[in-house]
Amino acid sequence: MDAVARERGLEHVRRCAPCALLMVEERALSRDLRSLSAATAVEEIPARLETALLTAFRQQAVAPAAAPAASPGTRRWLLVAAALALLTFGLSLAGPSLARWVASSPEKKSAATDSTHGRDATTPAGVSATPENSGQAPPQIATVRQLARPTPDSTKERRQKRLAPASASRQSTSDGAPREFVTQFFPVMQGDELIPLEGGQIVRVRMSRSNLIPLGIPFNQERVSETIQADVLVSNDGLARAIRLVY
Amino acid sequence: MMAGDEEAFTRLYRRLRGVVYRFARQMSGSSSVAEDVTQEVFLILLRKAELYDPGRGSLSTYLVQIARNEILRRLGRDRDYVSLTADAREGDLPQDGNLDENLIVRGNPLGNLVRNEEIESVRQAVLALPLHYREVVVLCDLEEMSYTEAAALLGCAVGTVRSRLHRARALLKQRLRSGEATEQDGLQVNRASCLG
Repeated sequence: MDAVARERGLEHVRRCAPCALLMVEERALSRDLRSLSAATAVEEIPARLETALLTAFRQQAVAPAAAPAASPGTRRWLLVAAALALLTFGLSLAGPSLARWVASSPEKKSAATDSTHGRDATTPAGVSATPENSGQAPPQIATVRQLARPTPDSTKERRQKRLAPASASRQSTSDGAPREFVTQFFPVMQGDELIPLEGGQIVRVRMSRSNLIPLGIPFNQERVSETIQADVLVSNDGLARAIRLVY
Repeated sequence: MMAGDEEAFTRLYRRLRGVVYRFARQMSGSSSVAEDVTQEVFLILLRKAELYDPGRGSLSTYLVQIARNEILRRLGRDRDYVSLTADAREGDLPQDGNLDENLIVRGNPLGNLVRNEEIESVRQAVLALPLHYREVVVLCDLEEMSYTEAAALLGCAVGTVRSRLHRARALLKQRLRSGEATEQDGLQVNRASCLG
């Protein structure tokens, strides 16, 4: 602000009460802000900051000598290589399920489902349990897993599968029998230690989801009031040893 | 500094740490946040010194700009959290077990107390401002930057800085006045009760 304008402003303030009040307030605010600024200025910055930064500086100075920084081009190639490695890793993880999804045929699915799910028609709903495969727990597990094994497809079948909605494979097979997915077996602890299993039976039950809580099995909490189908591995001594969920 | 001269870095840090720290302190209201931000800013300078372009402004402006980004990032991240009042009052607590220093009474204790309270109320009023008003007050009024410098730092026009500053000061006056009014109301009640 030049001197003339300042003088003119001050002259106005002498005659105008509201502007004079405004000016007093402005001056008071400026004074308060200066006090705040001064109070902050005397605050000491901890010496440990400088120490930490100097340490970082020394490391920074040593690092380039030990390993020269990659050029932008090299960095780009490294990124591409990392992305490829990630993709390969992801495919290797998803490989079995992907191959299963691509390769399984509806006919084989239904055949397999028939062989294992015939019991479902005879299994009463509710809490009642039906023993099956007496004394042959491992073969039962193997049979159910066989469902998930990829089977070779003809070109025609593959084309049909492509045309069908992806969710169809999860819904039902050609004979209308529902297809099931099972989890891995979760051990059921009897006391503090695991007792060796010398044989037993797998019993399919329908139970309340809330019963999974004491077993420590993860499930959808929003459906806690509903029931769920499960296979319980009962050992020869009559104790439940493991459980898996059936969807 | 870029050639690995530690002495040069130390000199640079000692020259510019105050600007960065004060800005972060005024913007966040917390000395611990200010320390973190200061450290972060100089670490960024260490690692990416080549990003600084002298043609676009002074180094201090560049560092304050980094500090501003860092503070905005932190404020955005911590928006959902409610801070405890302990940090705001951390200056009241003895640091490093230096209790005796805090107990020593120097000069006019009542005057100091009032002055400290006034400063604290101004600090709280500044902190209560919306971010875009707070930063112009911190830059122009507290750090005494020119409008041009502040505009370059904030990436806006000089006129925007002026108008924001005008509004910010009006808000500050309003807040401080309302605070004083509350205190004076309290005093009047006390006087009335004394006279009664």
